[in-house]
Amino acid sequence: MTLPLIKRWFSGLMIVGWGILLIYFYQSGRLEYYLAPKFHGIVLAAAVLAGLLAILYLVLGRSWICADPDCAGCASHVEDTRFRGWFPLLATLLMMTGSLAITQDAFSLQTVFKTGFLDSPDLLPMRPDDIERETGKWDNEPLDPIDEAVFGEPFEAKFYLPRTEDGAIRAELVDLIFAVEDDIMLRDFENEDVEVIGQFVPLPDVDPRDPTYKISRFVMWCCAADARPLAVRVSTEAIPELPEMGWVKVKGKATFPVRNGQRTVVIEETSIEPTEKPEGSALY
Amino acid sequence: MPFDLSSALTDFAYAFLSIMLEGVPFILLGTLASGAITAFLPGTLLARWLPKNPAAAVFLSGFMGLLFPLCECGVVPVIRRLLKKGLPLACGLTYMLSAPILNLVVVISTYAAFTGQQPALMTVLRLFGGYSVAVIAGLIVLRLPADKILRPGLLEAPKAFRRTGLSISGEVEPASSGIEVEPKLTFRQKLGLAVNTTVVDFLQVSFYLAIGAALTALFKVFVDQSAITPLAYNEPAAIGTMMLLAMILSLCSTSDAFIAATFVLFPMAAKLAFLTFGPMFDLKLIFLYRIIFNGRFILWLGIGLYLLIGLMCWRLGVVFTPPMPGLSN
Repeated sequence: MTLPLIKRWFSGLMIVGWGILLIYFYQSGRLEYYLAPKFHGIVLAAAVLAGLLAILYLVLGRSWICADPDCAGCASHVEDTRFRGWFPLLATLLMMTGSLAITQDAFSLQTVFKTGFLDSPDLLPMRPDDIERETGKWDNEPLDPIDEAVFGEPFEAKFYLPRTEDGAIRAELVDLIFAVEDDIMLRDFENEDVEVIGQFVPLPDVDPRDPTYKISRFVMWCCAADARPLAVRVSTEAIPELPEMGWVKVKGKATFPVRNGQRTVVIEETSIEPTEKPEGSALY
Repeated sequence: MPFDLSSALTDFAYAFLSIMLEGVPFILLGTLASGAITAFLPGTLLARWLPKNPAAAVFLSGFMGLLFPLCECGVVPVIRRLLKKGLPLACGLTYMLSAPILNLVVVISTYAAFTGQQPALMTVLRLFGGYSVAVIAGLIVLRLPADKILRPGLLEAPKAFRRTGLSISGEVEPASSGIEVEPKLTFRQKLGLAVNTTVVDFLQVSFYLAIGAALTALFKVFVDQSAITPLAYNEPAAIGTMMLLAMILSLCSTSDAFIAATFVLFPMAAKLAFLTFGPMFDLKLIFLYRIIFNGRFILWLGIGLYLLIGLMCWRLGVVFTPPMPGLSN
């Protein structure tokens, strides 16, 4: 087997490898830890295209090379499009296999702290008050009287917010953060028992008189590299001994105290327990 | 918190893979296009389509992204092949810089991401800025010799496809040199040529993407991003910082607006600079551009774009309304 032939097969196998990798991530569900859903379709399409490309590449061989002795210099004479260097192929292969071998499909607490938390509605795009300004909807006026006519009483959160068996509202972190600036959401959550799922974030400097930790969940726009952690502070009696960044279910009362002139959200914890990583662990 | 190298390595791998998984499908699409261009696009077609006036051709090239929308990763291999097919360098550069911004996906994503933050104004200024900067860069390149810009391999692009005035080589070619030299290939041969070109381009470009992704992942893992926050309160510093951040983060132009919108402490002009500079010049692009341009030109392109976009956004900053009081702290 000649060196050009080896290179040719190696190049073909690299394309096959990319196709297998993409289809594996798509099929196994691991892709959701890496990319926002809007990119999933194109990953699948690319996997299929890579497979077709590899087949064509290996089947067609070098039949495209111009064999016309009278040719004045066509594209296939002028340019031999074989991949020449080994280094880029091997370097790409090494970086990919190395990363695949050690990735944990999640960031550690160290990187979470370096990225910084999104813990205020001001830091989130598409805040409710923005929507209000843009659309003229979502004002904070009392709800339409039709609600009362339909339901026989004012339309309340208990009708539309999902609850646990013991009556706590199943909330998302992002809802609680938005509630800081949205009166309707605030009314729904304030002093209500809530249950939220997130990752446990112990804080480095804890005031022993007011022990707190955070629960966090990543919000992803494109891919994990641009994901940023949402976080809500949880007030407790004693910091639980749980693995950092482990998934936990926290129950407690949602409160919205004003600190340094700004309203914030704090959950007064009544219980915390480890839980399974939820399907769709990031928010998109 | 003490630094833990093993955590940093696993986080690096996670961030690196996520960028690769995001970028590779677009690169594959781009290289499929580049393969098709090589094998099937008649070399004289571009010359026939473009206006005879060089400046007019550059102005028109700025809109090519509307017809052939590609993100910044996908457009680079396409441009390389178009240049080999005889697309004038100035037009190629203009298309390359404008296409990642001047396309429908970017319009929609920018408008959606900036809901509540003057979305229409931001979208229009982004399009205007992207187009203007790309055309200015194209007009400058129009006056430069090709051997100062292109990698040696691309200088051998078939001169027969170039047209006097549009070629930036500085060598005025006689009109009679416009001999059409087309490959005499069967369909099967053309398909083979397209597939080979696609594979070679894909493997080459994915290597450069990997280098850029690795540098971006290093930034994510090793740099404390809160360090840049104090710079938000001085507009020129904020603009410069946001452009550097755009370069380091190497985001896809289809989604970068969602990231820019989260930097609420930064002035709108700085976000505009982020959205204009990032799709034209980021870490992964520096490496991708190496398949077309020589290192010296890439350096000057980066400096030029940084200064031009920085100044432009600083001046355009006055058209944005001041940030809301609630966002200033």
